[in-house]
Amino acid sequence: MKKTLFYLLTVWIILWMQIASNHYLGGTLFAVQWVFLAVLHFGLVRGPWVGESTGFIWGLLLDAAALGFLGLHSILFSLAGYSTGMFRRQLDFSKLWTQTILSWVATMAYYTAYYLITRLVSSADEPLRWAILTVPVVNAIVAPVFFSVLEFWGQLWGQMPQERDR
Amino acid sequence: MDWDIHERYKSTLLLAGLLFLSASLLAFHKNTTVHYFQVFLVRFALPPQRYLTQVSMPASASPGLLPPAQGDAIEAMPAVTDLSASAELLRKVRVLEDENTKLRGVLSLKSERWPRSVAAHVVGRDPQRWFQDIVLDKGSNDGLSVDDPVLALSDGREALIGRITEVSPRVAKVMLVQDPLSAVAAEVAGLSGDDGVVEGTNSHELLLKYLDRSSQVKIGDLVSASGLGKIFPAGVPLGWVQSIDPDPSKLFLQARLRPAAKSNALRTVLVITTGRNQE
Repeated sequence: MKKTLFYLLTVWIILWMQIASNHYLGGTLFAVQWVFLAVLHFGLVRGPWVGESTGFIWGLLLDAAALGFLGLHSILFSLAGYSTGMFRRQLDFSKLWTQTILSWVATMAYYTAYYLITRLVSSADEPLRWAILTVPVVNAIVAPVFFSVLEFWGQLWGQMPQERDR
Repeated sequence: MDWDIHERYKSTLLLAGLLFLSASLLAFHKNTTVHYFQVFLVRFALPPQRYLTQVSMPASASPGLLPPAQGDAIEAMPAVTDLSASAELLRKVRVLEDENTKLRGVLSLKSERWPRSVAAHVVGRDPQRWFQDIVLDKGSNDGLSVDDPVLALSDGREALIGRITEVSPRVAKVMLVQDPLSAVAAEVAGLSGDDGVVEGTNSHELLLKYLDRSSQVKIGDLVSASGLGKIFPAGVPLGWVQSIDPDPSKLFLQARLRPAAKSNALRTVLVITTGRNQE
């Protein structure tokens, strides 16, 4: 029950953060992808199962919020959660640089995939936007602090990282 | 090790299921069931968007822009001793005043020019599709339907910003004129009077295409919807000519336009209801 409440609240709060970020910073090149970072964190700390499940739910909610193609973000976020979950044993996630570089690489991959899929789906010629370069950098800078906050939030609820559970 | 293999197997299976589900939603996005599912999800995503629209300070209402504490609204305030609390109250009053001014503008536009219209708030915008679409807090329950034109008030005058492309009972999606897929039949005001097509560029600017090579269009000319496409009302401004060049084929001229409505400051819009797609 406590675990379910933890995940429901986390999904809800981070969805709010993302919508607020889009609302205030969406027109700039610095809108942090909070949801994406949270998916990476869940994948790394709690494993691929949690990473892909939360990624799928957040993706659906974000697609619905923008009345966009339902399923587009859920594909990308599920893949992100799964991949980070699978790689977590090869990475020393406690290191600051690992978190930064991983966030940068993953956000770049996410933006590139998003760009390629929308180019494939849309009949319009989708031009490349500067956000594809700036947002990964912003995400990489914010990631260590955000990951710490998420870890602290998890500890408040008694939700220890999966590795430490076993 | 066994646990590892089990976890990998279980996660990969789940991923396959989730990808299949997502791909099905994408493939059948026009299906009624998928549409109802989306409407259901919107119920969860809409409250934060509505709340943020209500509390956010509009871009134009910077501190000090409006007159200092005076007038009825300020007099009606309770005595506040705490300085920070009064500053917060003042900020709220400024936000409300600014919103009030904008709403009054939109409502006067509605009563004078477009009696069959609905005022709506912009509640959602995807940063990755910033110049392509916005989400409004009104839907088919309020009389909106697909292809209804959408106007905004910018610097005291109306401006065409797009048309409705998707409608749910409580929300609607607007394709902005900046979307590369958007095309609006347009005419240049003044002596030139040339017809052309205004297309989006996925940036602030618009592009007026297919102008005759002998066109007398000049920088600063106003470009409005011509009404030829039967979707957008004639005479509503789209933008002003900023530069004129031959198009890549050298057969026509094309002009870059500064849009009449600032795409970054869209808060309240007016939807001209036509009811053309309502059953």
